[in-house]
Amino acid sequence: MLALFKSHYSIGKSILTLNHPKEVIKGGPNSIFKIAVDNNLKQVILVEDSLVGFFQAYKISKDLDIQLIFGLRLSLRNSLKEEDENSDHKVIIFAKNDEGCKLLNKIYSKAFTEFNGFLDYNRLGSMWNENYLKLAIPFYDSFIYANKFSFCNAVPDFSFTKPTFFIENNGLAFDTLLSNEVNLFTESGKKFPTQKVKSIYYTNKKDAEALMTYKIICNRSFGKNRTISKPELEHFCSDEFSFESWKNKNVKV
Amino acid sequence: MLRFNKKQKYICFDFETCNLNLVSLDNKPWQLSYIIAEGSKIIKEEDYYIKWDDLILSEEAKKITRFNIDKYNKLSKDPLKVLKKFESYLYNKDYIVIGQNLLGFDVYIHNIYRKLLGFDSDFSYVERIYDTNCIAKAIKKNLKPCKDFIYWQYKLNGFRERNMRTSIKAQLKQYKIDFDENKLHDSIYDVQMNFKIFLKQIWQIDV
Repeated sequence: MLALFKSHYSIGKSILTLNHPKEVIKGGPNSIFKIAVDNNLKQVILVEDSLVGFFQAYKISKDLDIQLIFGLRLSLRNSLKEEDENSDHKVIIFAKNDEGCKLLNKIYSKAFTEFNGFLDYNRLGSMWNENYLKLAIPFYDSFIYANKFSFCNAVPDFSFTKPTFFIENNGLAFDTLLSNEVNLFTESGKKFPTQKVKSIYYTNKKDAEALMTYKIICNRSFGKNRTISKPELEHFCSDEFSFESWKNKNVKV
Repeated sequence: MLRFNKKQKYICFDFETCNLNLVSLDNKPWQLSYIIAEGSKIIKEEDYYIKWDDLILSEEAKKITRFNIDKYNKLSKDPLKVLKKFESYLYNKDYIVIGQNLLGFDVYIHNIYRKLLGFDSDFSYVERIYDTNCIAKAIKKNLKPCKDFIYWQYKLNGFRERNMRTSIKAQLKQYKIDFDENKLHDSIYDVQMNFKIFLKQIWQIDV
């Protein structure tokens, strides 16, 4: 099972930083690289919603001699037309090498400077280079999730690449339902490859409350009095998005 | 269709809890009530206070549920026995599982209950859920159910619209069902009212 780390640079999603292990102080936020060093990880897979933390991650991973695999979680739509607004869903684009990092930067720039943070399959396909990039379909917020669990009408076009579909199990009530749908679409890995993964947003299971607090702060709005007793965070019902959970199920690194 | 199926077995349940946190093991379910029914006929009503030594209710929960510590101490029972009996119905595939906002709340409270007793999560009953909150939204929006009924309900669970009222109280008013507002948020009263709502809903939507 692959560990997919996310840092606080993905606003409101994670409480882990990208700090150098030397900078981590007791009682302060933990760092993905501190976790990596403490657990002898030779590789860190980082999936972020932006490229803001990329350079920091690159520098520190180089300093620590840890292989960094960077993935950008990007919104895609059927097309850029207004009528396809409700087809919004996520994909993850991994850079395979240095050229991939440069191309990822171009894709990110296009999405965020020309199209309000999203692309369509047509534009992504036109920029695609199979030697440099790898497409993955996240478990949550994918086109499968969006079509099945919301009033979304996403029609993916994988004519330019063969993506890998991620499967997770974090103790959410619909995890099994969603897994079944992924297996149905991928024909249990025969049509498209699948990979078991775990998204990691905090170190230990007990830190779920700290993430909840952070999310409450990020989601604050007028007229809403959100607290730990009344967080109003839909389906925030699991403490399994932790490194501890991944380690328990995946002792061999 | 359910409206004509007089033999269909139902369990309609509701928890009262310490607060609205869906992940904390401190949010203990302290009251569990359920109705067992066949068609529109109620076969059995069960109402349990669940004994925990370290129950901490939020002030809001105390107020809303009118929590009475003396009543709780007097009536509360062994959590394991209560859970086993409840799950003998919940995991029985002959039963349709009914409740208000089950998909967004009670399934996770049941999961906390299981974790507190050292059991693994088991959401295998979720596919048999008929959530009256989701169905109410569909009725208001004049939506017809899809073949994948559970996914359709999940879509509705996440659907929000300003001024759309689908609470138990709002639906009781809508269906002109007599109710005592002071008894709402006592889970046994809620499931009694909830089942009445469900029996009205199945005449409004083809399930």
